[in-house]
Amino acid sequence: MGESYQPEPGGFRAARYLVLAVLLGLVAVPVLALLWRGARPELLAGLNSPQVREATVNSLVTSGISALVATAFGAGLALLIERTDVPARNFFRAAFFLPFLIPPFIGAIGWLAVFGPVGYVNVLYNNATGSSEGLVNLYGPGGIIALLALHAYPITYLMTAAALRGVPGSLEEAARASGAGRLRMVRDVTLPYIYPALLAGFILLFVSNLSDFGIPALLGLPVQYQVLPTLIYSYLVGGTTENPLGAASALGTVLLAVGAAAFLLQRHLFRRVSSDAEGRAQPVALGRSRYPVTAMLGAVAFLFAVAPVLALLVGALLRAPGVPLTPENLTLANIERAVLAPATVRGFVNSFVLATGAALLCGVIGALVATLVVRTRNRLNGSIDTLALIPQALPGTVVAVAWILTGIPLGIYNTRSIILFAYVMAFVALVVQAVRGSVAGVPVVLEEAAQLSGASPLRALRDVTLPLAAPAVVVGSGLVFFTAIRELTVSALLVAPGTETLGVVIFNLHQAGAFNASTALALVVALGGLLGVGAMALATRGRGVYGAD
Amino acid sequence: MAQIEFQDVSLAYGGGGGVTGVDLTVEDGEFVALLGPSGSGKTTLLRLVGGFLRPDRGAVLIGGEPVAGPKAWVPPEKRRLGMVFQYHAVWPHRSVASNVEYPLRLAKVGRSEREERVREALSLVGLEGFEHRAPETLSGGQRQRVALARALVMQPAALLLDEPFASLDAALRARLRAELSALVRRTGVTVVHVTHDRTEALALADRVAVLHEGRLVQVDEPRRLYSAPATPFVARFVSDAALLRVRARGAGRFALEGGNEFEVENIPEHGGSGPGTLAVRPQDIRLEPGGEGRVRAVLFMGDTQEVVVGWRGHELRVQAPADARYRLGEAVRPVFGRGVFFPDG
Repeated sequence: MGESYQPEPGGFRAARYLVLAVLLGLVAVPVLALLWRGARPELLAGLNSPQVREATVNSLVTSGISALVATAFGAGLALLIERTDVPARNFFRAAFFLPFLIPPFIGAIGWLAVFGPVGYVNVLYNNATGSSEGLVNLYGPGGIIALLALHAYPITYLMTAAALRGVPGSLEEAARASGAGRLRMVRDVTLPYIYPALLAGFILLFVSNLSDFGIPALLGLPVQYQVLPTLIYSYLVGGTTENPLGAASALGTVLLAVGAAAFLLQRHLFRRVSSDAEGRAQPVALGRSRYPVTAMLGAVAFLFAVAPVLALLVGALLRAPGVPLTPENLTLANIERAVLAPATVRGFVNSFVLATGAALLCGVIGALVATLVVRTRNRLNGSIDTLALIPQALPGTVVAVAWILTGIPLGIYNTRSIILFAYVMAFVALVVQAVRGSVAGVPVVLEEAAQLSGASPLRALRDVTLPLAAPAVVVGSGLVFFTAIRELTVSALLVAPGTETLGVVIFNLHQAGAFNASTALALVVALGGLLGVGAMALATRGRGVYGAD
Repeated sequence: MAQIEFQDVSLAYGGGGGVTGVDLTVEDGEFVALLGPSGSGKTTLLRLVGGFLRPDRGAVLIGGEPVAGPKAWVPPEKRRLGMVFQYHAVWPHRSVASNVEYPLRLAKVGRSEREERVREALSLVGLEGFEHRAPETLSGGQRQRVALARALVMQPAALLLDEPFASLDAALRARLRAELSALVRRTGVTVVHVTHDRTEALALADRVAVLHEGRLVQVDEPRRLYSAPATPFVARFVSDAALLRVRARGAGRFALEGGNEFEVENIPEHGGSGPGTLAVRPQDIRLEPGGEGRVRAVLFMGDTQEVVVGWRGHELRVQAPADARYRLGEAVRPVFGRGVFFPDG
């Protein structure tokens, strides 16, 4: 039964009001400030300029197509790796997950090292053919779409794999027993099970690609291809318009509307298909195509996961861009110089402080929100949940503009605090989502047993549920830390001299043409991220969620 | 040890499981089983005692003191109860000893006494020396014993059992059942035990309270419940009786709807005449060769066999000796040795 109709003790009420007040300040106030400043008829009318129309179309085209490509690719990949007898499954899982661990703008720097105008492929091609036109041109919409899709598909993969694990084997076996072949079974039983996940995944990717700043900034700005986040950046940083804050607010309002609509749509559409049927699904035999398929997967995995990291590595170790790859041309000096530069050190310290602060604050707020929403019944719970989760649907650019508008009257504009608050707003949902499932997975009877032993409801929560949910809080906070320390989109608009983050330092170096230095730092960030995530995975292994049986 | 009393307790529940007008007294040291199908309200009654639900109407008393009622409310942690849940609610992040000593720790019992009492409680449930084991290294039955030790360590006013054996396999269930029976007699603790398993209820309890759609329909000793059910529902739920719609003609003679007459050799408590329901238990029917009945299924049970017979539009379950042979479709004549008649109205 699991429901408790006992009167709620006072501690819960106090915690609820506290959390609500914090979320109102961190989420509702900035969003309302943005709407108040941006949703004005004269400003929105000003959006009807060719420049804005073009950026809007570009945004919709690049994020729509890249989300579609990523969804199809991620789902196909998940079906192949998770549901067939393809060998070396764990290797493929890890390799294809790698692009997700590298921040998009870092990945873009790596891909430019492979396919950019002076990247290896084009240099080799030009040397061989004597042509001055490159073979591949990453700049412009094509490259933006490709890279957005590349960094997004692992999300679809994860969602599809989770949905596939939920397909009961007995349902598939029933289809086979009824006379369906392997493909027919996948089409009639397996796919209907994962459609909701695919749809939800597509919307999620669309919003997240719409929000991305790093890839279009690196691949679009050099050829004057603008999308909404880069246009806002140009307004605020480039001083290309007379009322930059007003124009940015109006654009931010539009982005906010798109993000919120997608969030609500996804919530509405995402219904888990459920069944009482049980059993693990058997892998589908690939038969004669097993080895060709494996070879193809291997080649793609090498291209996606290994090539850009390898390119970063080589680019960072070469004495100068474009010199031949020979042992005497390799040096650690670039990395050393880039890492020890005062700007880098400052950026790293700033990012470290900000990421640590954001992880701690998000951990506390997220754990409280998740516990209240799962364990208590109250009219305010819905509002708390929505306030905590909705920033996830807001493009980072929107969060940044909203905090500029909030921070100026508060006098925290141009300080590190404004970046910290923006990070907490943007990332608290990561902790809420990580902890919510974990708290829900702790059976209520465990708390009831503590109460009958003489513990008050709050004491029962502290002694039983908190220790059991702690690993999830650590994972959620760790996720916030790793996201924040490599973050670019939000801080790009909020930094001031002295408060630059690591991401902004690398971005500025690249924009200034210091490719050696930016590549070296990108390599450090990429490898650091991989090590960090690996360490976190190891640390939390075996401390799973409590299972009732 | 204390008496538990329900006084006219009602609780409405969205979607079934509520209770209406329950009056029941569990005496000090008594073992009462709450028996009923799912949704009958038996778990609701237990959770009302535990303090996880609050009645809409009526009062719950423990040891004569109201703990829930119009003016009274005592939260679960102040009720001094022990409870064992269906899915052994043993805290996975605490060792066995730390699980069992938790109530003592909250009651601020000193360390040496805590250790002593934990040892006693563990030996009571047959888990001596398991103090430092982690729950995940225990079997389901051992975890349930830990839960029992934790429930008993404070010498609670009463022990509440919520289907404690339901998640165990049949053999283990039987063994723990016997152990539990011996243990509660030895400690003399008051027990309220919720189950949908009638064998368990009949085997363990001093008295069984049968619930149907949120109401108490009979509270009686197991033997009386079995031989003298108060309603047709109890007869079917407790002893698998076949229920026949009949008209009583007196002197053990009954007529089915449609007029066919038959005889029942022994009718305890002559219920009168007129229309009503006749309940006949499987072991009170004999089969003789030839007749209108047709054997539809034979289920061998080891020491007996269950024969399903189609007879005059009814389905009868007959408990037959294991050595008799029946073929499907064979013609048989049911002879009714004993039945209980419930007149309408």
